[in-house]
Amino acid sequence: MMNKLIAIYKYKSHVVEGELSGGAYFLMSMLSEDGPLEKNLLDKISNDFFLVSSTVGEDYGPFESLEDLSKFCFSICTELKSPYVTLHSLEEFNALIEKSANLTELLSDLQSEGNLLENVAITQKKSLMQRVFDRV
Amino acid sequence: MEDLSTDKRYSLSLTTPVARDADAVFPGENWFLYWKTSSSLWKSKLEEFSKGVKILVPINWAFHSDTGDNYDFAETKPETDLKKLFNIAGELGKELIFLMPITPVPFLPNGGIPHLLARSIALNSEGMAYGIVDNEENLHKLFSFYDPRVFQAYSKFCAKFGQYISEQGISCDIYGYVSGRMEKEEYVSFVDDHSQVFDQAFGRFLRARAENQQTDFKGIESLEEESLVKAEFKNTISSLYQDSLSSSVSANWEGVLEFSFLGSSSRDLLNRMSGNDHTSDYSHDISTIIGKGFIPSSILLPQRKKKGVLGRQLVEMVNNTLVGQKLALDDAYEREGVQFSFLNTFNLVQLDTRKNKWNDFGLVNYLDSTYHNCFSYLNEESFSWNEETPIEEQFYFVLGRELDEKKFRTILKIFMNGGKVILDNSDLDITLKRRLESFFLENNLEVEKVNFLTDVSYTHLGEGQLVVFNGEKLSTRSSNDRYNFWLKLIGTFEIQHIIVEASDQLEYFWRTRNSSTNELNYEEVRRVSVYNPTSYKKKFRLKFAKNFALLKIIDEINCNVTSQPHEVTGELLPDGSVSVDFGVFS
Repeated sequence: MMNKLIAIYKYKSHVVEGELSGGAYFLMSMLSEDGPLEKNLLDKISNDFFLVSSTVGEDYGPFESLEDLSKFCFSICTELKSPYVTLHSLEEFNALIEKSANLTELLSDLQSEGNLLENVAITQKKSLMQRVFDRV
Repeated sequence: MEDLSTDKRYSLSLTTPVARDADAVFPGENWFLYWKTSSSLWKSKLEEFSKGVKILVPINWAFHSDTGDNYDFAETKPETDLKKLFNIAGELGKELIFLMPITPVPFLPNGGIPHLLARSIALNSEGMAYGIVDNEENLHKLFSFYDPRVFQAYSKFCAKFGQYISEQGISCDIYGYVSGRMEKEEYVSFVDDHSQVFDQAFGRFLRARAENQQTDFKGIESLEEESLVKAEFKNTISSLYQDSLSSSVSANWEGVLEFSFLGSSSRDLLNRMSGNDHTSDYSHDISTIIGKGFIPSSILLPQRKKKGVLGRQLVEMVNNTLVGQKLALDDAYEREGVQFSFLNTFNLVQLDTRKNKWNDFGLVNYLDSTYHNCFSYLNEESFSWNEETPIEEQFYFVLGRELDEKKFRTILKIFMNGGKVILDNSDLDITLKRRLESFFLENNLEVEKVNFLTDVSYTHLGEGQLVVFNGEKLSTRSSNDRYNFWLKLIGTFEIQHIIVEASDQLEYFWRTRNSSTNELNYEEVRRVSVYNPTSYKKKFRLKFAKNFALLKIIDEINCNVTSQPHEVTGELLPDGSVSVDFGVFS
């Protein structure tokens, strides 16, 4: 079952007068079992993050650190009451594309690999329910 | 849930999907994938095509050359015997068209190149590796055509292929074909690459360019300049592949066809991963692709997606209309006749595909709402003067900034021969501006000037009409104002057209044909075909003036249509479609 959100992000360097000058992270896409998430949902959550410019082209950001990006993704996870979100950098995603022979393999790898964030409010709640049923 | 046929891709597949012929050998739009079946079955397979249909046969480079150095044309694998295939088609009275790729192709492993050459995966403009899902859910990676080794092997293969068809006396037409997809309503070829391989090749190009110009290489000084030079480089490489092919098969060479593959965009990959690719999206994509002048291909979609309304739309619009139209472009005899072709009244000249100024001027929005699917874009190649092209009822929208001497002469020829030209004079070269003024004076043309939301001038010569307007000034207006501008301007031409009021997400296409011998009351016959690719009931209404006569309502599927004087109303259930024919007379 596709019980994980899948997030793909990238790092963009800033170039000032021909020199690299830091960079930022951008969320490229977030996928649920209903497909890519709607822009209005991401807009709503990005407003809560007070992003200066919530979108650059189609990407959401900029996030100064991977930690900030992870928090943003986790907020989406919470909003959608999803138990997990896996984060993949663009490089990791591309490696999975190269490796996978078919769509099923790609989806399986996207769910099982990457940086996994657990929404314990959902996962522990299930465990609690299980415990209740066990008692009964 | 919008799409009745959506299946959720949320479990690992427990069984291996069995490929059926309809998906494997005949993936769609009269394509025949000869390598997917035994050569001993070719005859029975080709017999399944209807009489008179042109069979499109894409040549599988990697199938004939697995390493890039050796070649197989019936030496080893019987399925490489193209001469046998050609002969069988001849015996059955079928016409084959060979298609040779001049870009990576999305429906073959490694994008169609021999596996030993598949080293540098190509990246799209977002830096994402190209991963295309085919109709059997295989994931194909595309590799860079900017790799010199790929080009060298391609050239050798073209030479070998050309030699083979010449020696074997294979006389069928050969087209080069470009493979691409729609990304945010713009066409992007799969040759588009943003990988390191591209960057290295571009670097070599810049150095060679500097050496040719005998200047010191100072580097690119602005993003705008970089964009222009990159476009020049990409065109150069594309031309190399095309020239390599055309020179090798010169006797059979017919030109280039450009296909846009449904289900191959970045949006589609994400949707297909979660099983959320909707028929309505593909249905809309077909409209966009045809409007942009490309040929939709559904061969990446499984047959189950094409069973209902999408399949009918593809058969009627692509198989039965567009492909024939594209293949008959140079054949005046084939063009005239009682076959339907798309009703195309408005031609938007757009030479710089990086930005759509007609969108900024509000023209696309207006045409889409009032003359849906009755307009198309012309590029560098397709915008030209041809005495045989009927232009009297045609409108040409031209950007002054894109005009050079040759194109300027083209618009004057169109005007003088009865066509309608609407010219945006923003950034029109000063020399051409003066030439235009001289032209008016020399021909004693009366020029009327008016200010309606922007500066507009109008003149006519016989049937020809020329409107000049200031687009930049217009683009500063509100979207309502811009819409009203075009409503007013185009309204003055009193174009004969049937008003269509259609619910959101209904797709409809207009086609036209000459009247047949028993329809001599009419100058032409027009057909509107309406499709409902959604899961909801949708309505439409056609309002027509006195010079249109309702002829017949046909191909009704899941619909309820009623007619009244000067009006036809219809209700389409999910997956419904219908066509309505009108006779047109003065």
